[in-house]
Amino acid sequence: MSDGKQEATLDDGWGPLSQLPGNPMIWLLIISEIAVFGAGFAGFVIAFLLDPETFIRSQDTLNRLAGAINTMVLVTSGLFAALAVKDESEGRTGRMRMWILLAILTGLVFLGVKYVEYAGESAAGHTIDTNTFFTLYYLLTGFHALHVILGIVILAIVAWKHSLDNLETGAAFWHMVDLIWVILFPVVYLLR
Amino acid sequence: MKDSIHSSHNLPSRRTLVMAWALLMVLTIGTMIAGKVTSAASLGLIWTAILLAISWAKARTILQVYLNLRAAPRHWRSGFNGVLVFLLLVIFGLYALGATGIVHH
Repeated sequence: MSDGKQEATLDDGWGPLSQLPGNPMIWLLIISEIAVFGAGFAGFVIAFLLDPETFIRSQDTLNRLAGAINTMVLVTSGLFAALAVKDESEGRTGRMRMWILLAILTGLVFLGVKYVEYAGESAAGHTIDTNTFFTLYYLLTGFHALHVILGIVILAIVAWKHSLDNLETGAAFWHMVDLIWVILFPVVYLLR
Repeated sequence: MKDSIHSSHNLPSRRTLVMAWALLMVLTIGTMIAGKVTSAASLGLIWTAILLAISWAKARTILQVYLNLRAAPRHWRSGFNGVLVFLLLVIFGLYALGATGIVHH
């Protein structure tokens, strides 16, 4: 009975979302982002079907290896963020901040690789106006890169104003960025 | 205060996190092989299916371990996995329509 009472009083008005780890708001965001990017990926594949020659020719100019390396960079950054949460849960603030710093640095590496990719495409004359492939490529990867930038800012804030809930929520945003990328990379760079 | 998940947090161990990272790295190498990153050749249906299956495994690992969904009730785990599978099946289905020539531009 005490469990039922606890559930009723500890729900905080979030309903089923309160059953998820971390702040329920971050899960609302994760669900929304999966829906938005999911629609974007489906739209990308439909556009591919409508003009496969242009898509395959354009996609071949992308640096697929850089995209794969960036996947490794991002999942490694995710590990650092998760380890930061673990250390925060054990009251090790110094170690938590070290992991967050490493997560931010690897996030910056991701953005650096992305910049090199964009610079290469731009130098080859491939801009957002070139064709439908590049419009969608820049929109999807650019929107994702903006999430990386925002994630870096969020990680810095939760390392400064630290609590376990803050760390868990900030890291959840970072993992969401990771989650989107592991679908974005094969769909945009590899599917052909 | 929130419910038990929030109060205990039930975080994965460091070993679990490192194992998940190692799995993600191996799966990324699998992505590079299935996605033929150093080649311009078309993937074909089978390699596309393998590529998307690997992507599912990566996304599920991130959800389960990094995002700690393993600590959530079964309906949430099944729900997120269901959405993931649905999205990847839609992508595969659309690709298959083109690859098999059912849809012509």
